[in-house]
Amino acid sequence: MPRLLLTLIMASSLSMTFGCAMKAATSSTSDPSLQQSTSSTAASDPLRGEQGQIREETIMAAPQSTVRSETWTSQEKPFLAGLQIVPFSYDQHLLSDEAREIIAANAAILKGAGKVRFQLAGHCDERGSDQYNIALGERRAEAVQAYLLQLGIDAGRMETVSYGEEKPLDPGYGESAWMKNRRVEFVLLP
Amino acid sequence: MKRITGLLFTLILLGSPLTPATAAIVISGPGQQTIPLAIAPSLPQPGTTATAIGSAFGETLHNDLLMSGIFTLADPRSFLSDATRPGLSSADVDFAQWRILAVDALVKSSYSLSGNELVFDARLYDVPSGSLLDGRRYRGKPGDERQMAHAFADQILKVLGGDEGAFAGRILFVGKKGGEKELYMMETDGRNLLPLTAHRSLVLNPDISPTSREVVFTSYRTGRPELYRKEIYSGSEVKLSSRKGVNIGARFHPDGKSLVASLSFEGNSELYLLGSDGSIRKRLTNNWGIDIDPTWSPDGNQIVFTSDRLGSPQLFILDLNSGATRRLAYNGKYDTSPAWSPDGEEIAFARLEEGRFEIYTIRPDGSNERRLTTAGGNKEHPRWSPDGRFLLYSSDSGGKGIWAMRADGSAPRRISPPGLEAAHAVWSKRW
Repeated sequence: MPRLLLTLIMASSLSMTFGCAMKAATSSTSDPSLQQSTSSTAASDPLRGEQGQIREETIMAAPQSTVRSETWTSQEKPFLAGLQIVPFSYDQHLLSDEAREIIAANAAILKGAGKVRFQLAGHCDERGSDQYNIALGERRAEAVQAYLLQLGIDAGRMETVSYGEEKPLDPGYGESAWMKNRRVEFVLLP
Repeated sequence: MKRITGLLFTLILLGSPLTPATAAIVISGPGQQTIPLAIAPSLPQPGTTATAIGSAFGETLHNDLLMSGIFTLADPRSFLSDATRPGLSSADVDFAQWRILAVDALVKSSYSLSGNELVFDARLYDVPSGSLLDGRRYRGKPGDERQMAHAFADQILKVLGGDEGAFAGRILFVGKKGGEKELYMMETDGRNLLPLTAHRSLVLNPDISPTSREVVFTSYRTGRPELYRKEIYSGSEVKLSSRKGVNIGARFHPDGKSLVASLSFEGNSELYLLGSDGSIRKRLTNNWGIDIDPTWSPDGNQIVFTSDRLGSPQLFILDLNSGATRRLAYNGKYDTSPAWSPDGEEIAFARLEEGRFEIYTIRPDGSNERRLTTAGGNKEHPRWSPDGRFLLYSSDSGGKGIWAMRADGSAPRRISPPGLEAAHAVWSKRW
């Protein structure tokens, strides 16, 4: 059989983007049972870390985003004495009587605190889908916000956020931990 | 700024491979019947010193083929002298020796290392007829040998298993260290872990584009859940949606040109069709309930999602052409995180029952509901491998990690590395 070598280079657009030197991959084979056309495809592989090790460098191969890392705003919080955490029942966003009392007490404190702005951060326990819990935490924060509006707090002072099950107060397992984690926190904004 | 340099990985196709139909043996699923196959040790070509590269190639190939469930691998201790002969021509192979071991298929391979170039030659033979089924040459650098083995495993599955494998893809997932979650990427057997984001925040629920070039994810980098899109190769990153409220759960349309995501800027979480620039093309749901966890049918005509419109989270299918929505599964009280199989025939999901999540599959018409997992922690976030042979999921059995099982629920195993809490995996197509 004639030994005809057909080399087909398919450069990935990635390689072209980075101006990589493309090598024409030609080869011959000593196996007579192989048909005699050869083609090649090229693919760049960014996963070239050493085995089993995280290579922090490799991510830097990519241009870093211009956005700087920010620390948690909610962890560097200004303090206002007496603000309490609003509790919730499992898979619920409705306000219990206890929750209403706490919100009313918080509202009184906030009314005496000038125009300080604050965030209502909704949280869930770890049970349930994490995506669903982000939506549930938002409902909890919004339920608290709605009651604060009724109590006469200016809408411009409040914003809501949900962390779902991502930031438990108590990382433990069981109802005593879960009870603490189903909550809306009042977080003062700078 | 470093660049991704060089031609990292070249695949050379030797000859037009024989079609699967020409192979004497084709098995499409695990369980029923397996193909006895021998993997001869990978040998250095003349002029190359034997290194661990050969055994890494063989071990990777072995693990992939075993994971597929359609092969019985012959014990190397039973191999005869042909296993030590480097010739790869079918005339060089003493098939009589392999017939004694009653294997139907044989893999032989050799490698050469010159400077920083690593070349692997791999062959798949049909033992009874003594003929070559497939031959490949892979070029790359030392360290690429595992990826080359994944690629040859995929090829073996194509020839003997009916469809190309997906071992040469990548697995993207969320890893937790301290209070922070970031995206990571690893090979499909859990090796070569690589961080993809450095938000120093909560990065959640990724998806990867059909071309494997881009990822989308939720990040709390600014203190709120917002959607980002990132090019894997260049690292360039843009915000996809930072509307008021939650911006979560984005999934690429199968054509890669649009996405579906959950946004709550108009009240509560609803599904929206977004352009690749994050612009809203269409609001897809309008309901008092929470609508989340969308995922596309492979043809892009339907979306299965989670909604609590009936009181607790349940699965629904939205037909984009008719606009009609119907409930998918009726047997559970709390069903979430659906994933449509690549062939469109099944939907995997997680069901919470008696305080624990288990993985189920159901047909899109609501029939043939099956539980795939059993006791041992919560199993959530099922995602299919691109070839449909495996399901990835998050399990908290023995520490939160990524597990893979065959699509029938057999052979579950942890694949994410120890020491890193891992969840929300997605298996990309081949790179």
